[in-house]
Amino acid sequence: MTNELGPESRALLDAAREGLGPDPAAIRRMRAKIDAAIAGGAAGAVAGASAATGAGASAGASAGATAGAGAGLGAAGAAGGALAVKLGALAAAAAAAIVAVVVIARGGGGGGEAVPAPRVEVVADPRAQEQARPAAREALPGPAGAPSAAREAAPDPEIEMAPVRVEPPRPEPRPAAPQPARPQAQAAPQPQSQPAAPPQQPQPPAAAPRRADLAREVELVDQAMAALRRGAPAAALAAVRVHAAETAGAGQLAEDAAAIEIEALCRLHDPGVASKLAAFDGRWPESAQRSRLTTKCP
Amino acid sequence: MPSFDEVYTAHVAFVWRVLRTFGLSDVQLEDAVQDVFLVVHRRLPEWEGRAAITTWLFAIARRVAAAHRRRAGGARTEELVEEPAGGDDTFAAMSRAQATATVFSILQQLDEDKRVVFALVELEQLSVPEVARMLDLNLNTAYSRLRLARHAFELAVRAQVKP
Repeated sequence: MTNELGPESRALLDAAREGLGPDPAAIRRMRAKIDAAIAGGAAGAVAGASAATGAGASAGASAGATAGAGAGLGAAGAAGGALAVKLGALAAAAAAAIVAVVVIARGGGGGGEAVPAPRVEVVADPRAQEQARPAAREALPGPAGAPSAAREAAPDPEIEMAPVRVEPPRPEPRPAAPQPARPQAQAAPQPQSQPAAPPQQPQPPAAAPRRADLAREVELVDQAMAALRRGAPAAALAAVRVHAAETAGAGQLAEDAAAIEIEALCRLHDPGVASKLAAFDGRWPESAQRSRLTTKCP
Repeated sequence: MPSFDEVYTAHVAFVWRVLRTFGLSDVQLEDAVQDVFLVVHRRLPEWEGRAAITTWLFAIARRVAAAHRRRAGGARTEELVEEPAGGDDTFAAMSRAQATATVFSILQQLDEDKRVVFALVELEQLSVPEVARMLDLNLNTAYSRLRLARHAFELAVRAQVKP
């Protein structure tokens, strides 16, 4: 019986370790969607606050077992500088677009007192609520590393107040321009959704449109990915072409969109795929997507 | 306490690989990672450093994986089974993608109990005692699973290299 791995196995594992993780584009894409979902969750929490009376006793302690050691972590180290810049921009944009939803909730609904205030008070993007996912709500580990049965039987009240969404099918993100987060008059004005705004109305923060742009990009790339997954490459192509049109091909997720386009063309046996691949290699010679494309589109 | 950004940046790959180790397919991974980090975002203030963060993340990821597998009805998509690399390549010539596909293919041949221990020790480089705590296993059981998994992995690697 082998107790230790041989050098070939070690070399193979070393070579594969990074590849078994997400590529930088996936990290960026997931992060953007998480941010969007968090923003939506804040709004959803407020919306559900009045129905969540007494829900405050969320039994804390989600730390798992008592393992101490800091331990060698499977650290990613994958998020590069570009990602940091993009995320920073997103965070700044989101912060700049804050709507005082928590204040509204506390003033308007008695039940809100029983619920911990959402920690992220960002603009309530209705698209983002689509990201509030049931699996996430099922997945809270119990205290002291005892996950499961009891907790599943008695769902965490905090989970219950989250916006309920049924899937499948997953709702397609709405293509329309962002709508006002909430109708309350107390909410910070959002001039972009009020065409008849008075002249003295405060201007939106400069960063806000950038956040909306990225959210839209995420939406389109998400649509395209979903189409690929359900075996609809033509629909995926349509989505990435909308992305290209709206961003003039220079969006923050242009690399992701281009990779999806190539994969879709490949599935359609489009003769133009070779030139697209060449263009992709020229524009992103170090792309982490390239190995995936090699696999998906040999 | 680390910020959410710090946790995401440092551990997203760990979470991704754990989810993959639990058998989620390529098409499920991104959604599952998002689910994990939505929970992390909500619960991070309660974590308070009482356990190694990998232990906590692992517990969340394990439950998310179970939820996704339930929703998928246990069905595996064609993308879960990737083609292994050609057997006539030397490791030196193997691309990372090929190595990844090979390892992935071999891992899929292990049963889940062994695969999880093996992945946490050999890929995530956690200590066996820590893995035993994570999985609530007797230490000897963890070592036993690791030994069996290593043996199976070695045999599979030899079979891949010298068919």
